Amino acid sequence: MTVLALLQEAADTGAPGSLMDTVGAVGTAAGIRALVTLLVGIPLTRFAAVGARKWASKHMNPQSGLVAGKFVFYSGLAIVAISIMRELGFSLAPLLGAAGVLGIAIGFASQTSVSNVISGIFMIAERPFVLDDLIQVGDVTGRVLSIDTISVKLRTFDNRMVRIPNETLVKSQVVNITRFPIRRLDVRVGVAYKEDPERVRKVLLDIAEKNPRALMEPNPVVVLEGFGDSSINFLFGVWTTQSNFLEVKNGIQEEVKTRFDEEGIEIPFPHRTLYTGAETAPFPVQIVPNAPAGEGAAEGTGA
Amino acid sequence: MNATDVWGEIALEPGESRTVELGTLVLHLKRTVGELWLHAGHDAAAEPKWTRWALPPEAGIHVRPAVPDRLAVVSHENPYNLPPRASARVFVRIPLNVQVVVREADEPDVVIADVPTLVLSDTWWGTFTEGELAYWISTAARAEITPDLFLPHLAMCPFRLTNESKEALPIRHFAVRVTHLTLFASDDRIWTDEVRVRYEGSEEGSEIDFPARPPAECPDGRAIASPRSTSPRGLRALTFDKLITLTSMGV
Repeated sequence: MTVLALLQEAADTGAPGSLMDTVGAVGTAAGIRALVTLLVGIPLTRFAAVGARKWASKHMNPQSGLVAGKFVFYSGLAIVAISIMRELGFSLAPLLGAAGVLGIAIGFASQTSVSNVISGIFMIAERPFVLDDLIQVGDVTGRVLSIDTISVKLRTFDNRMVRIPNETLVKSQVVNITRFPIRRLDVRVGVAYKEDPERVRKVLLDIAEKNPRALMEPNPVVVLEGFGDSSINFLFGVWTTQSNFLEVKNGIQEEVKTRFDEEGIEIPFPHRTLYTGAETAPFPVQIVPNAPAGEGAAEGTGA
Repeated sequence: MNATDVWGEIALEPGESRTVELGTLVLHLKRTVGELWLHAGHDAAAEPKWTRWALPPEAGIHVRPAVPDRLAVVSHENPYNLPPRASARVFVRIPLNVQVVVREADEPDVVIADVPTLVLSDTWWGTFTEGELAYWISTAARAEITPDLFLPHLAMCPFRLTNESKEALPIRHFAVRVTHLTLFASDDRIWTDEVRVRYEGSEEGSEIDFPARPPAECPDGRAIASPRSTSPRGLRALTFDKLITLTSMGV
């Protein structure tokens, strides 16, 4: 029975002296019940949310755990709030009506947020990444800290937190770097035109074979990519596990430099040959006799 | 040096040191009052980088062999095809690990170091999207063995392959689940139990059995190391590379 009904009943009995008593008694009782609902409901909701998160994390994955926990928590909060309002005698029908009108207004005002929420639902269903994955979005690379209703939080390598709205993620190209257990490290190597490509290939494959963290299978690969301005360009691809990627990246590049030095294989820097008209003619140098100091040097180097 | 001489207790008094060399591993042990100093590396010329361990005065130091800590992939020296309903036996030499163990009376052993005697290269056993990280064993599997193949840091593993499928089985590379192997010593040789693999053409893998008994070549071998992990009954796992195609370019 609601407070209003009790008040009506008290008024109908024609006992004005007892009206305030009734109001007081009903108000106190309802208040106590509402308080008890609040005090019991909130911890119970938290408990249920933690339980749901743990269960889903264990039986599905941590990401599903987060979603399940939040779903249970917010659903529980809504139930507690409705129960308290009922205890205090508020009728839900007018509230729901008002909520409909309010919903339209809020909907217009919060299109971005709603879009993020819906994008978040799509992302959870599609699962392009999970917690702790290393992803790249635009020019940001980081580990996924949390996947929330409106945004995803990343921790970058220099320990900054980056918040990316779900809508942005749905619209952008997301690269999941750690989805698969192995990765190929591509090293671009240029050697001088005088070098024998077959010898370079053998040396590179030997470098990969001698690095214990470079996987024997899939085999390392050496591809002659083309002829550059100053060098013959090779792609040296070495497979390794995600966890050893950085170690191999550092190691292999150092080993290439050291080994090429040992083998006398030249890594050229960009250079340019100047001709003065005839390709085979010597570069003309003019020597000016008895030139004043300073002036002659400047003129002598010109051509 | 006998294959079994290096294993066992290393008696060290405070102030004494010992060096154990196996494969490419150099293991320095130095005992001081209340401490054990340990260095393990694969460069004999390098300066020792000591790790110090508190050591009760009554504790003993033991060195014992162990199988590697993950799957090993080996290639056959002469790849061939195993016809349907045929069986073959090959031998694989498994590089051992060395465990340094502190042992006290009435206390369980404490392993303070577990290091490979050879630096083994990594390899991948599986597809681009899932699989297992494995060691690549550079010593090829072979059909026959000779006395010179036995070395103190290598255990000989007999491998019986049976093709129960209806098609020929190419024997190129295969996986040895070394963590389930038991080590046995006989005279100056170290053996493992015979791995029995039955290939039935299933994509779920072959049926593998580890009998945990000395192989026929050393019937009186005594167990010197237990498996790192017990094998489940009826273990099925991918053993042959027939179902694996890993291209270098990743396509």
